[in-house]
Order: sequence, then C-alpha cells, then structure tokens
Amino acid sequence: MVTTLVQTLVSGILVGGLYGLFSSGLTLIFGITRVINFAHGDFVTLGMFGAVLLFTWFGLSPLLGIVPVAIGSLLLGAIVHRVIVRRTLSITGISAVDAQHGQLVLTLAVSILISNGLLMLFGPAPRAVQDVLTGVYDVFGVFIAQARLVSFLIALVVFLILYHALQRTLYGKAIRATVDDRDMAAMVGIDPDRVYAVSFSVGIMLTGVAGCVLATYYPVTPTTGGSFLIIAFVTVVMGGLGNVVGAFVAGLLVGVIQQLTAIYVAVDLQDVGLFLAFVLVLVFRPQGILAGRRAHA
Amino acid sequence: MIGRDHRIARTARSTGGLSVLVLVLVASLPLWFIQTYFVLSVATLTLIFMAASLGWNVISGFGGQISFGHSIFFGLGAYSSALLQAAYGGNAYVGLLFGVVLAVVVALLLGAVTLRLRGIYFSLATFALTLVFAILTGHYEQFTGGEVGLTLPLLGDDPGSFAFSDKLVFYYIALVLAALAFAGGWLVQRSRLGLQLRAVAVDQEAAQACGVLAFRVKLAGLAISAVPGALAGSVYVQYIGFIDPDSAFGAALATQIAVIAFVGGAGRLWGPVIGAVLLVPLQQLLNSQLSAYPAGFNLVVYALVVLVILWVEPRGLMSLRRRAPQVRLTAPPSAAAPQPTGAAATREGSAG
Repeated sequence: MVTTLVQTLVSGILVGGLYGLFSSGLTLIFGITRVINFAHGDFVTLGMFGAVLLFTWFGLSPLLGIVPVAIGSLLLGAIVHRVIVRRTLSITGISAVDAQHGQLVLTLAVSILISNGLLMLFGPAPRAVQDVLTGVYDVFGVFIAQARLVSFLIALVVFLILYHALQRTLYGKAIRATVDDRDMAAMVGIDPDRVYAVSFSVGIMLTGVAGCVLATYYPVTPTTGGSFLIIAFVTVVMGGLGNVVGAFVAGLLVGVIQQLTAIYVAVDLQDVGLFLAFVLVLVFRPQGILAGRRAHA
Repeated sequence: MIGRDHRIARTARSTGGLSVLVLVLVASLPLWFIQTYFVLSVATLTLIFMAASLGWNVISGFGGQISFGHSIFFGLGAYSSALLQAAYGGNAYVGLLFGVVLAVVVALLLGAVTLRLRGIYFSLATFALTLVFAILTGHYEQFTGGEVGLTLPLLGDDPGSFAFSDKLVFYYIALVLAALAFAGGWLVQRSRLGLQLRAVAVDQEAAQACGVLAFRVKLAGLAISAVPGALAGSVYVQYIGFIDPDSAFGAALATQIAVIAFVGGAGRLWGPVIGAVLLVPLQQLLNSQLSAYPAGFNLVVYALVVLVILWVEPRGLMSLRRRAPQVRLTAPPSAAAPQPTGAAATREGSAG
C-alpha cells in the first residue's frame, strides 16, 4: 500500500522533471513574446524523433545525442522565430493584439505541419530507443528504472544551467528585464528583437533536450505532441505564466498528479486529473502556485 | 470606379444587400453548380462549419477572447442529439434543443471560471476542456458509446425525426443554419453588446473605465457564441449519422473552427464565411484522395495553406482589401499611379 504510493510519487517526480524542463521553455517564450507556442508539444516530438533516428541510423546513444539535438532544435527555433513568428510584427499598421493572435495561429499551423509531416515521412507506428539504460534499481521495494532516473537528473542539470544563465549572464538579465517590463527594458538599451530571438530559440532548445532524454524510455509517435502540449499548458499556468522556476516545480507536481490519477482512478483518465488541478489553480491561484514569493525570471 | 453610384453596386456594398445576394446565390447552387453527391456533401459541410465558426466569431472575433475549444459546444450538440435518439429513443429535435441548453450552461460555467482572468487563460482552458470532454466521452462508454462512437439508427425518410432520404434537404437546413448564425453575428455586431465586446477586445481597462461591465459582457458573448456551435453539431450528426469523441471534441475540430475564422478574418462579419468556403472544401478534397497520398499529406497541405495566408496577412483575407490604400501611401509618389483601379490595388496588396 505504502510502497505503491511511494512508487507512484517517485515515478511522478521522475517524469515530472522532463515536463518541467519543456514547460519552462514554453513559459520563457510566453514571458517574452506573450504568445503561447502551440507547436511546443510537437517540438518535444521532434526532439524524441531526433534521438530515435540518431540511435537507429548511427547507433548514437540518446545521452550523447543530446548535443546534436540541442544544437538542431536551437537552430530550428531561431529559424521558426525569424521566418514565421517575427513576421506578424513587420506588417505595417497591425495592432499588437492582432499580431499576437496571428502568431498564435501561425504556431498552430506549424504544429499541424510538424505532426503530419512526421506522419507522412515515418508512418504512425511507435518508435523507441532499445537497450539503453535498461537497469532497474530496487530501493527498499521501490523500483526505479535507470532510464527514468538518468533522464530526470539530466533535466535537472539542464534546468539549473538555464536558471544560472538567467540569473548571472548578461543575456539572462536582459531576458528577465524584458519579462518584467518590456518598454523600460527597451529604453535602457536592450534590443527587444534580439531578446525575442534568443528566448524563443532557447525555449525550443529546452524542448528538444527534454524530448531527447524522454526518448530513452517513452516510445514516440508523430502525434504524441498533443498530450505534451496539454501538460505544458497546465504546467505553465500552475507555475504562473512567465515564471521559469514555477514552471519546473509545477512540472514535478503535474507528473505526480498524473501518476496518482493513473494509478488510483484510471489510466486513460490521467489527463482529466490534470485538468481538475488546472481548474482549481485558475479559481484559487491564477497567479501561480509560487507567486507568494517574488517570482524570478 | 465605374459603378460607384450605381444602385446595384451600392446595394451590394451594404452588408444587408450583399448578404441577401449571397444567400440567393448559395440557395441556387444546387440548380446549376452542385451536380454530384460529393460536391453536395462538401457544400453542406462547408455551411455547417461556417455556422460554428460564425458563432466563434462573437466571443473570439468581436470580443477578442480567443477560444480553442468551440468544439465543446459542437460536440455537446452532436452528442445530445445523437444520444437522445440512439440510446433513449427520444426525438431528434428535442435532442437539438437540449444540446443548445447544455452548451449555454457549459459556456456560462466555463466563462465564470476563466473570463475574470486575462484572455490567455481563456484560450488555454477552452483547449484543455475540449480534450477532457474527448477523454471523458471515450472513457464512459456505457453512456456514450466510447471510442467506437455512436451510429444513428437508419430511419429512411422521417422528417419528424430529423431524417431525410434526400440529402439536398440537409443542404438547405445547413444553409438556414449558416444564414441564422450570420444574421445573429450581424445583430450582435450592431448591438450595444457588440460595441461593448469590441471595446473589451481593444482595451479592457479602458472599456471598464467607460463603465463597460467587462466580465458580464464577455459571459454574454460566450453564451451567445455557444448556440450556433451546438446547432451545427446537431445538424452535423444528423447529416453524417455518426459521431465519435475525436470528431466531436478532438483537437483538430477545436482548432479548425478558430482557424477558419482567422484565415477569413477574425472579428470581421464575413471572415468565417470566406474562411469556411476556402478551407472546408480544401480539406474535403484532400481527404477524398487520401488513398493516393501517404497519411498526413492532407493536413500538411492544409497547414501550409494556413501558414502562407497568415504569413501574408495575419489578420486574415478580409484585411487584404484594407491594405491596398496603405500600399499606395507608402509607395514613392512617382511609382503610384494617379488613380489606380480597385483591382490593381488589390493585386498589389496581396503580393506584398
């Protein structure tokens, strides 16, 4: 009984770390551009496909594959931002609201394009990385899969690097300043266009990395992105929109809620449990669960 | 310039005159254009989704609160109508009415939770809620038929139970539905509520400072907006004879209702009309040839079309017309023709 509960909590936290990582990318992008990236879940899928394809074509372990996947998704993010997202701002006479709505629909179209492009190229069958990190640790009767533990640790390290970069580097400070007050940041000489580009690319890179490590134990299909998108939506609202630390913590919570619902209610209702939590947050703490303290980033 | 003072041209320019002209034209389509059952089916579906998107336009277009879950109302309408008939032997028209009432109640509950917050929360919550409905209808299968879906009993020709052997009847039902949704949108746009909705969309704080009760206005807008969606769902399920969780509440439908309006022009009365006429036939055409292409091809083309249109004009096709004078203004005086014709200016605008 207790073992089941602990087991559920542990697996929730381990998968939640990855949720937290890709959700912090979404919240970073939102904090800067005020646009919800509808293609976010599909960028996770792209990261997973990247890991799986590098493994099947070149025998590259997903742990090493992180580097090319991270670089690839960073570039992809930069291209999507430059060619598609930034476009709406360059229309003469467009209002800020119209530009944001345009960006929303453009990212939605990118989402449909990615998932169906992958479906066209690789078919609907699930793909997985096999025979990597297959070990299982037995800690007082609680089983911890090696792949899940390692993925979680990588997610944690990458997130800490992001946090450090936001706190200490000049770019990080520029990003935080832009989140706090865009006009004021621009007034003291921070180029908003460059901040947009950097945070969008970094946000997509985090997503790619999360997908890459997730692929070590989670089979990928072209349409998995939809469920990641919902997870990311719930997570960023729970963490407080634009709050990077909040998103990571909320990611852990979301993982736990999902696992608890799956074990104690029904597996196919795990996302309904998430939605209930989402509604509760909207009603009681729309500013996010960590907003009591002064939110960073 | 030629017909500016001409009576016909003037009538066509006014919304009322133009809409009557279009209505007559569309009503006459089966006489001279629609020759095959396939074209008839595409036209009927176009009108059904047009109606749902016209409903969306009230809260999301005029009101600026972008919903990615209008499939909630579509699905509730479809399932109410189908369940009452298939599982409980009730009358389809009662199911249709019940669907509308249910959709309005859900809209009010959803609005009560989300519309006090910034618009982005509304977008996220609507999208999450429609997927939850899809999961729930799939899970409680003894009640809804589950993932397999619900098939309506074949009734032959029974107008009392919303069953017509002649598919042309459904075309005209869909046309009436779309016309009512358009008229409803027009009335809202011209009303005090429409003005308040647009004020909230542009600047909520300023609207509130002028005495607009923003929350109440948005709630009313959302409730009105749910009605065409529920009706469209009911008509859809009676026409197709089948519904499953994904085609009622799925992400594809949820986003399609919004994308139709965005492509045509969100917040513009004619936006959903133009968007539906363009996108629904495109999708149906690609779908019908699915066997010839790999799976996913149809949606890749669909996504590319949407991308290109919004890349050229993020405010939708309706705004291309508006951009023509701007092109003239920004062009150097020597390059601009002294009196460019409307057609040339439009072409210039769409190229830019």
